[in-house]
Amino acid sequence: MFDKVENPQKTERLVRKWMLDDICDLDRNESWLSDMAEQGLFIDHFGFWSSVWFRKGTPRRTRYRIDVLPRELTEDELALYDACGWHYAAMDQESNWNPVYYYIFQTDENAAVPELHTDPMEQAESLRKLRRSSRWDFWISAAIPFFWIGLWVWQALYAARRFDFLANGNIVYIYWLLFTGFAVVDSLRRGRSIRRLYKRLAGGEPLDHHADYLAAHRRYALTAYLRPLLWAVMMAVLLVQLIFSSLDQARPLPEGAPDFPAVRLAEVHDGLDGPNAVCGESHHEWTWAGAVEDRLYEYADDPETGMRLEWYTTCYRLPFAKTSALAFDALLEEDWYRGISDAYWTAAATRVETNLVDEAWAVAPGAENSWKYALYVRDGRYIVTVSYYSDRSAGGTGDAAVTETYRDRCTEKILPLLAARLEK
Amino acid sequence: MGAGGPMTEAMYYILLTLSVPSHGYQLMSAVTKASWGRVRMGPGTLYGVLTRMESEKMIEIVSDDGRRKTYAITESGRAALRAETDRLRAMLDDQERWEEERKCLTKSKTLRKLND
Repeated sequence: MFDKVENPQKTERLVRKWMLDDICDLDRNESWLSDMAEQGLFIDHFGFWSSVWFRKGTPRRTRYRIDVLPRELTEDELALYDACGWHYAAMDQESNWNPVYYYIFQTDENAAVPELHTDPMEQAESLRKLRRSSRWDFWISAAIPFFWIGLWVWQALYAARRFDFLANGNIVYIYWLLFTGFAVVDSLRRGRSIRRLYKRLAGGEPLDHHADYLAAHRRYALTAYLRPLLWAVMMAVLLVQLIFSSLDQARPLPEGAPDFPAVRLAEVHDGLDGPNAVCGESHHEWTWAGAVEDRLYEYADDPETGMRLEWYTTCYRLPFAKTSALAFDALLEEDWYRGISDAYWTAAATRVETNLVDEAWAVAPGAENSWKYALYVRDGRYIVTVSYYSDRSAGGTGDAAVTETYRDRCTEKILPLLAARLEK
Repeated sequence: MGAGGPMTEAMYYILLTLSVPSHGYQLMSAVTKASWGRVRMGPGTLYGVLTRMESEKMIEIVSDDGRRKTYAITESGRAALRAETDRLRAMLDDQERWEEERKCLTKSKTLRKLND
């Protein structure tokens, strides 16, 4: 459209480079563009994601200036810049709802033209909108992680399915925290840059058009490379978890012995000493919240009655004892994870008075679920639940005294063994 | 800076010359002419000031055909220009009075010394 200072080669080959600075760093970017021109690369247009396209031409010393405007310049206005010796090179628009336009102008190093900005204080005024919007950007970007942290805490303390959240976690939170954390870093960096330029200009000192940019570029590159790396790590972890989930690490018993604190069916029920008396499988899983979930399912036929015995153990190892305590409370409240209906829990659950573990609850067979015994144990970072489907006649009498005796017998058998294993 | 406060040189000359509605080119040469060649305004400064003063309602666009905008001073711009002119004049008057007083003081001191 307008005169260009460089002499482009006939091939007009375009080269893409990353702008290793925020566009707001006007002085450093002007200096960088001048150095690129000395290497025969003249800015042509802005690309995606801080990329700049350069046109190859004959190397020459060129001055660049960046003008920050709240509106687009008309053709007539650009013609005036051109008439003053400042030729339009490229333009970048930022934000659609509150746009800021960065116009790049160039002129020959030796051209006798007046500066683009002849009054530093007025140039400082041109940064005022940018300064205001950068403050807003900062507060908004800083508020979003707090919102996510708040939501996280709320989920952990009050929401439905708290146990699921505490034990299994939610990848969306981690991604959002990471994403919004980057935005905070960006807005802080931008705010600092604009404040630096504003202070200098408002003090009547023009920008240093030959500012050193190498150190800033190195710092920027470090974070620029760190981001995709972090994303890649996160994606890799997600992928690994997906692969592990799909592989389903179920190991059949008796070969696959569980390596987590578990009491075995044969230890509790008499007459199951044979090598193939007990069958089943163990399952190992690792969750996003950093918890380890192990499950053990055993079944056998009672040698005396011939009835099927089923034995379920689930062990969670949470990252912290505090979260384990929270998760245990949630587990006892949620019938899905408890495996016992609310009505039955209210009627039949009893807290076990013991010094062996931090907390334990037991459920004896009752009228509604006449043949199930369940034990819920928390000790340090561990939560272990045991369900025992056993002798129907023992608990199905409906007699409260028999039920209690059955519960206490189970608890007395299982709890010391489990506590000893947790101790290890 | 801006409405009510002290003005930059660029603001003052643009308001001064916009008593005649003008577009960018005309304005730039008018500023140079009004300042007897002392102020040569860069295009960045010119459009920066025009955009800002328009948002502060000190000037207005009287015609815009999409390519060329013609600006004119508004009533509040005139008032700001008057206030700034008065302020500058008062400053000059103060400076002149001060110089006069200082001269008189020095003179009387010298006379006193001679008399002594």
